[in-house]
Amino acid sequence: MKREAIMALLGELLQRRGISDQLDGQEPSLRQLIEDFIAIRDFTHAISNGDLTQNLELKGFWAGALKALQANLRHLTWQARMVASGDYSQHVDFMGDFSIAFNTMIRRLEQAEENERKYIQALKESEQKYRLIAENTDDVILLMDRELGVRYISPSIEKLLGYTAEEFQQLPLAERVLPLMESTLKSLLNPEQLSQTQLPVLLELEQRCKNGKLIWMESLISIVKDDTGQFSGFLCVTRNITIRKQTENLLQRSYVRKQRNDFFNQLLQGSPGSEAEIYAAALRLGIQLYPRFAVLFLDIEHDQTGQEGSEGLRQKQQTIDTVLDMLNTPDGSVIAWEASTGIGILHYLPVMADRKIQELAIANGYAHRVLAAFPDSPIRIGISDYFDGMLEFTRRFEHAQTAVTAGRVLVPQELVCHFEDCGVYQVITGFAMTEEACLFVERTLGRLIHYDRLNGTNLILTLEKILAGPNTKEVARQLFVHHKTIAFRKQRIEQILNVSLDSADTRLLLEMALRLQKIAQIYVI
Amino acid sequence: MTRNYEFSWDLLGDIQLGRPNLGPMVGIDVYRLMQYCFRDVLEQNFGAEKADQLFFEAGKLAGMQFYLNVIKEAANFNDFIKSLQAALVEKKIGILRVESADFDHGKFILSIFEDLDCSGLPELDHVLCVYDEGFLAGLFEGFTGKKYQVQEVDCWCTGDRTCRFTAELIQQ
Repeated sequence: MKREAIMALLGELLQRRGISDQLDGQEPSLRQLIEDFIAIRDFTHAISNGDLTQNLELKGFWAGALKALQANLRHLTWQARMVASGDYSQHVDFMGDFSIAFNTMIRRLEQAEENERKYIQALKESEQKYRLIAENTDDVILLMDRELGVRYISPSIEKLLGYTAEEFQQLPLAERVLPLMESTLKSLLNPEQLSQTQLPVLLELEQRCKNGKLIWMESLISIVKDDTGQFSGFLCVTRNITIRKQTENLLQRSYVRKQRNDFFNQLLQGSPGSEAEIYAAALRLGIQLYPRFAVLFLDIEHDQTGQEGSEGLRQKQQTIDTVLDMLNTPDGSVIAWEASTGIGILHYLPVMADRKIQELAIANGYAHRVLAAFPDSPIRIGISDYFDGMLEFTRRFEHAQTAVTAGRVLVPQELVCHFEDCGVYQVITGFAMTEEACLFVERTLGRLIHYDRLNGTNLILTLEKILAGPNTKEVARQLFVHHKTIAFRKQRIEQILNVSLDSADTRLLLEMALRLQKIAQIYVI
Repeated sequence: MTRNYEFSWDLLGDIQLGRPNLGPMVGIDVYRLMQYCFRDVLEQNFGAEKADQLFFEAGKLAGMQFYLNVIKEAANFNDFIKSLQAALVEKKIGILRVESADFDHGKFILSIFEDLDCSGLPELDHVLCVYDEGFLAGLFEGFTGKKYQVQEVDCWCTGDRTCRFTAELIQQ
């Protein structure tokens, strides 16, 4: 083959694609040479197209250089796969600047993954921490989206309301949140309202539990914003404040009771003001005083509890507080307060017809209510006589107290006694506990009392019956003895006391002393 | 058959003790002087084919021992390759590069750049690194516990710039 033809053939191999038809018929050595060129050309072309799978059987420097390039590219591919699988220990130490860039990229990838791992770890720890808090706190954490749908509810909801978190999420909105909370949340959805609202919003509301029980809850409502600062929903932290509300209620009631007690006890000590001033002062304290009312005094005996010391006092106070809360009405038609000796009661009388009957019915009603609540605490109620307004309030209260004391003597089986039924006791009851009264009883009956005590007799009773009875026969019948025995005892009494029981003055004197002694005995008991 | 030198790693001796001044390294020319003199004598005595077989077996024994005493253990194939790459560089044996690895089917293509045995040798028109073939077969067997057929397909001595080996699991 001519030199020019060989030159043209090699030029064609270098410049063009495909195989020249001039190959046919060439001598074998030249044909082999050209085929080797073609193999190297095709192998190079395959590598240039990213195909690293081709094999070049040809040996020698040129083919070897290409195969070294192929080996490096294949190794690089393998290393890239290793990096992709998370092996950042791969390191390229060939291909010049490329290796620097590749190794830098791997370091950064490794750093980025390390950062991501740390971030995810931190996020996980943070999530675990907050989940731990959310799932172990007694407070209920409720996250709602802007449509008021539940995004998260902590499991403590079951402890609070009895619903599991899943059950709670299924509840309709009206049952899930109360009307007050719902209206608050909806108002906050209005941007104008939201801008004017002081956040977070604290609500106190009563919620019905799954078992129907009502509890008090406190909800702290905050706005949740997304990463861009846009409103994305609400966060409500809710807790059970039933015990706190009960305590607050007790404190409030205690405060009201104290105010009321102080007001009425000051009145009893003597109010310097006019009636109008008394009414105004009462109104300032929220006490509605009516112009017509019954005044009652409730005496509770606490000795039956068996408790002594501070525990006994605590129980006594608890009983009194409970009775006060039980009797007082919000409209002020019944006002009860704790006086130094018992409980005072004002009961509004809208009509005055059959006043005394009304008063007795009212007092009996109270007696039964209190006894029903405290069956072990004997009580008595005294009713005062009637005066309009407040000016005679102190007197009426004292009369009600007198009625209680007199009732023990006059009608010991009854729980209620009206002052107007107390007869002479209206006058002497107050005097009975004075020193003068004691001296009078001692002076008048002392010797007879001592005689009975020394001799085991009961001439005092006989004296009482003689003074009360129409004649000795009737007294004898009452005492189940012969009338001569009564006559004999009468003489004996006259001898001991050195008086004549036929004298009207003496009889009055002795009768008065006997009654005073009875009242005094009640106090001693 | 009486044996005087059944191989054990102890035969390599305490180099630090024995060569406190010269250290563990020796010139490549000295290594190759010994290897090619061995090959020459073996060929003269047993022929080229038998000499290749002996070199392959010696390489395989060396590969097994190298795995047991240098690599020691690897959790997975990637760890094995990483340890091997590092050890081959540390011992100045060559730069191992993985071209492809199909561990599931036991097929690998590896290339060793700057190979200890052949890089820089004159072109001889045939592959030379039969000791390396055995060495790689021993390493793979040490790691997998299975036998591998390793064959050199490209070699410096055939004009290539790298020694390329295929390794394939021998199905039992």
